[in-house]
Amino acid sequence: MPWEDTLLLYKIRVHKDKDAFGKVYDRYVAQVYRFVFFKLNNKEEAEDVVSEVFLKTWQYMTAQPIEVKSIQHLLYRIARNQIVDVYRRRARRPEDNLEAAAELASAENIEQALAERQTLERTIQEIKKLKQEYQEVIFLRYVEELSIREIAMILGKNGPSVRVLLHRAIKKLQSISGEPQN
Amino acid sequence: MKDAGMDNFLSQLRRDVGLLNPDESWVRENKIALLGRLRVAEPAPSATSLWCKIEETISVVVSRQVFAVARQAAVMLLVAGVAVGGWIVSASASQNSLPGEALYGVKLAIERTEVSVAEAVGASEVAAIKELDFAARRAREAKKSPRREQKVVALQSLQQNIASANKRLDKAQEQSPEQAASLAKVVTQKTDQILESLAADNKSVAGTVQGTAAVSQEVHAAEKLIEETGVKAVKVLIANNGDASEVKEVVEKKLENVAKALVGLNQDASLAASTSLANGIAGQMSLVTGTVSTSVPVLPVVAPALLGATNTVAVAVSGTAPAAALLAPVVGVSTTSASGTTAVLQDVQVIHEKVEAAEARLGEAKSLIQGNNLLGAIEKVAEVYSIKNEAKQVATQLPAPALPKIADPVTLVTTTATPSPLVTATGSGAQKSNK
Repeated sequence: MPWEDTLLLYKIRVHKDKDAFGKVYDRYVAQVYRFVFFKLNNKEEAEDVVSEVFLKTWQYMTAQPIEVKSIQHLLYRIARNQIVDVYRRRARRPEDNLEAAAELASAENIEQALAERQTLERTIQEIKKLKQEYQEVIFLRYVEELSIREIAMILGKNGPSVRVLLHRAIKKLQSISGEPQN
Repeated sequence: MKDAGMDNFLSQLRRDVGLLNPDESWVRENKIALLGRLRVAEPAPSATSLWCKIEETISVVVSRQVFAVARQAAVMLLVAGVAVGGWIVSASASQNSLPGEALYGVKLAIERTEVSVAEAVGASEVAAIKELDFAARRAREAKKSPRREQKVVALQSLQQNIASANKRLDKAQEQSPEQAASLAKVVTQKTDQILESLAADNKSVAGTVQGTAAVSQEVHAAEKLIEETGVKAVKVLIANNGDASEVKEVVEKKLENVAKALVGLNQDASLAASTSLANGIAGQMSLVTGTVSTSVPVLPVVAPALLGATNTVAVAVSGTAPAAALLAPVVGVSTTSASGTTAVLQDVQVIHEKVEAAEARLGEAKSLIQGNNLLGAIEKVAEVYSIKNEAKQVATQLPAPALPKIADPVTLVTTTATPSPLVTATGSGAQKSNK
C-alpha cells in the first residue's frame, strides 16, 4: 500500500477522521467510477453504486477489528459486491440510451463526441461478450493499469492465477473479435 | 485477431477511458453529501484507551497475526515485570482523573502526544480538532471537580487548548483555505458545544455554582475566548465562500444561543435584586426581639415596592411617639443595609440596560442575515458578545440569590414586662439603648 494510503488509513481507523476519508475519496473516486460504469454502462446507477461503495468502505474501515490491507483493494472488492447486487436487483432501464443521447446533444462538437462515443461503445461491446471475470481482468490491467499483484488482491486470487486468467481473456477476446482490430 | 491488433484494440480502450470518467460536478457534490452523511451518522469518537490507539496504529502497518503474536509476548514481559516488583501506569485509569490527582499528568501527556503525532504527520487540522475536544474535556473536569483550585486549573487549561486551536485555524487559513473552511465548520460546532456546557455549569450569575469569584472570572475568560474563536471560524467560512445556506444556519445558531444567554442573564439579575431586597428586610426583622412596654399596637413592618424602592426601606409604624421612637432605630432604616441594597439595584439596572443594548444589536444582526450580509451579521454577534460579557462582569458583583433564614421571629407583646436589653421605657419618653 502506498505510504500516503497508510497514513490516511491510520487517521481513519484511529481517529475516524472524515477529512482523511475525503482524501481517499479524491484519490479513488474516478477509478472506482470508471470500473463501475464499465460494468453497468449506466451513469445514474454507477453514481448510486459509487456513493454506496464509499459509504460502505467507511463503515468497513472504522469497524473493529477488521484488518484492511489496502484501501484500493477494499474499494474494488466492495464495488464488485455492489455490482453483483445491482445485477441481481435491477433490470437495465430503457432510458439508459436516452440519457446518453441527452449528454451527447449538449456536447459542443456533436460529431466528434458521437465518433468517440461510438468507438468506445464498440470497444466495450467486444469486451462485454466475455464472461465477468475476463472483463474485469482486462479492464483492471489495460485500462486502470494495475499490477498483477494488485489485480490478484482485488479478485481474491494469487498472481499466477491472474496471469493465466489474463492470457485466457485476451485469447477469448481475439476469438470473439474475429477480424484484426488494426 | 493478431497480437498487434489486440495491442491496438487495448490501446484504443485506454485512450477512450476518459469518456468513462465521472462528471466533476457530481464528484464534488457527492463528496459533500458523503462527508455530511458521515458527520451526522457518526458521533464523536468516544475516549479510547492508549492501548487501543497503539493497537490500531500498529495494525495499520503490521498484519494482525503478527501483531497478535507480538502482543502475547508483550503481555508476558509485563507480567514478568510486575512479578519483579515494578509498577505500570494504567493509561485508561488516567482518563477519569481530575486536576491535582495522581494520574492527571499522564492524561495530559497522552493528549499532548496525540496532538504532536497529528502535527508530525502534517494533519494540523486534526490537531486543532483534538485541542477543541480536550477543551471540552477540561469543561467537564471543571464541573466534576469539588475544589476551587481544581476548577481554576481545568479552566485555565481549557483556555490554553482554545488558544492553540485558534492558532491552528489561523495557520490553516494561511496554508490551505479549503482545509481551513472544513476545519472552521468543525470549530463552530465544537465551540458552541463547549459554550453550552460552560453555561449549564455556571447558571447562577449572582455568585457562581462553584461559589467563588476566582472560578467565575476564569469561566468568563474562557467563554470570551471561545466566543472569539467561534466568530473567527465563521469569518473563515464566509471568506472561503462556504455554502451560503450552511453559513447562514451557523450564524443563526449563534444568535439563538446568545439570545438565550441574555435572557438567563436578565432573569438572574432580577432574582438577585429581589432576594437582595428581601434579605435586607429579613435581616432587619430578625433584630426585633424582646418586649415593648407599651400598650400601643404596633403595626407590622411593611416594605413597600420591593422592586421599586431605590433608597431606603421605609417603615410604616403608627402609634404614639414613644412607640415609634422605640421601633424606628431598630426596624427602620439601617445605613449599611440600605446602601448595600442600593448598590445591588444600581448594578441590576446597569445589567438590564446592557441586555437591552445587546438585544437591539441582535435585531440588527437578524436584519443583516435576511439581507444576506453574513459578515455584517457575525460582526454584530461579536458586539453582542462584548456587551453580554460587560453585563456579566457587573453581575459577578451581585450577592448570591439564596434567602437567609430568619433565626428569631419578631415577638412583640403588649404587656408590661421587664425592660428589654435594647430599650428602656421610662415614663413618657423612651431612651435609646447604647448597645
